[in-house]
Amino acid sequence: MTFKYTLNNLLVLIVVLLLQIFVFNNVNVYNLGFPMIYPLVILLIPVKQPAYWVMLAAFFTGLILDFFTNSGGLHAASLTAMAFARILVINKLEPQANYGKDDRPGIVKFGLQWTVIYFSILILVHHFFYFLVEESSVRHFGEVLLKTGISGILSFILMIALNAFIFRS
Amino acid sequence: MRNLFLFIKQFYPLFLFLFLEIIAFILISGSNAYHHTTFVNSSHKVTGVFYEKQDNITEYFELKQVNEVLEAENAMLRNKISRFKTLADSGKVDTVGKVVYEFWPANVINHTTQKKYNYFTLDKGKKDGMVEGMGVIDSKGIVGMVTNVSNNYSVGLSMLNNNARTSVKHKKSGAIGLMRWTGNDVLTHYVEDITKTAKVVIGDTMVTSGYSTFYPEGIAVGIVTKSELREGSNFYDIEVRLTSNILSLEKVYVVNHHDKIELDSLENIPE
Repeated sequence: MTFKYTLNNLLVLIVVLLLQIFVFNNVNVYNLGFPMIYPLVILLIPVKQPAYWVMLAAFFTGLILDFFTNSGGLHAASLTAMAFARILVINKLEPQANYGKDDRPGIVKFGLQWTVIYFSILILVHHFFYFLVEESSVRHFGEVLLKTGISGILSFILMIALNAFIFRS
Repeated sequence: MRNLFLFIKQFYPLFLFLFLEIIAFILISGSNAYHHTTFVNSSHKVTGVFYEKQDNITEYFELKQVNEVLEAENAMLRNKISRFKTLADSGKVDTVGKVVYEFWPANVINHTTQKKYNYFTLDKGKKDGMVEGMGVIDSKGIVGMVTNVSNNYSVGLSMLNNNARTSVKHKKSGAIGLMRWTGNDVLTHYVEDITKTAKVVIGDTMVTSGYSTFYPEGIAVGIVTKSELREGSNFYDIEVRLTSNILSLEKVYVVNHHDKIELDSLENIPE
């Protein structure tokens, strides 16, 4: 079971990264919308996974993207920040019945409301961090917020769709 | 001591988070330096192969357009040759002169335009004689310069990069200025340091100055779209639109300066 499980995870990782690098990295909506779906890889890690594992996974997933986009450590930094925020969000959102051992975030396990809150908070954290560090100044703060909002909405729709139709379990 | 361990155990995610962020920011600051000497770049074998595969497929969609551009360039070169020929026959040009610049064709296999620091990847590397600091142009104007070279691929800093600084010349008057990009508008570059004696008007052409070994003198850079003389200032505020096809790069030329190493070490340009 564990082998099949690992293989599934690996497959999700590869598919999401390929989609990101070859499809969504080429999308540009009026210079404000840059959909990023790769945080999905970290969002879908089971809730009980240890924190160090999630953060290291985030760091290296980000680094793979940095290699492809010549962005130094931009993706790694923002995805690690999201992984850290994930620990807090998961604690705050814990349902009354507590989490099960292999519970994986998503619509199937936790329902639409939980998933929407969880996805939207963490996507906003990731996108805000990403665009702020990319701009690396607060001079164009309005633009950073606008990019975060518009790209965030695009990424959110894409990730919810991927979660609902493709990576169900 | 036990308390310390408990403290670390309780807060280790925070420490790990800070540690990873520090590494990431070191990598980011390395990549933003002008010479971009970081390990994390797409000139590596794996990324290069991926982008080459992608380019092999997408190339076909732009074939027609690329052909038209090359055809136009051929025609222009033919005209130039015939003109030089007549000049040479009449003995006005010294054709024995040494060749200083050479142009090598290359394919752009990946490039970005929507970020603040944009780069492109070429399918030529060390084995083709590429070195860092070579200029890259397309048939219409300058494109950028090579910053990282691996065996088979190389990465260049695009003109659409906040770190790009280019010495340019106002074609009509010969006044020298410095061109940069702020990262917001792909159609607007800014030129500074051109004095008010130059009389720059909209529609004028900016060309390379030839003061660096990146580009030969007189390669087209951009067309002036706005030219203002602020009150009390001796310098123009100029906006320029690039002439090169920077938004959809396909075929480019790498500029090889024969005495590059000698000149660079003589002028002591820090690499």
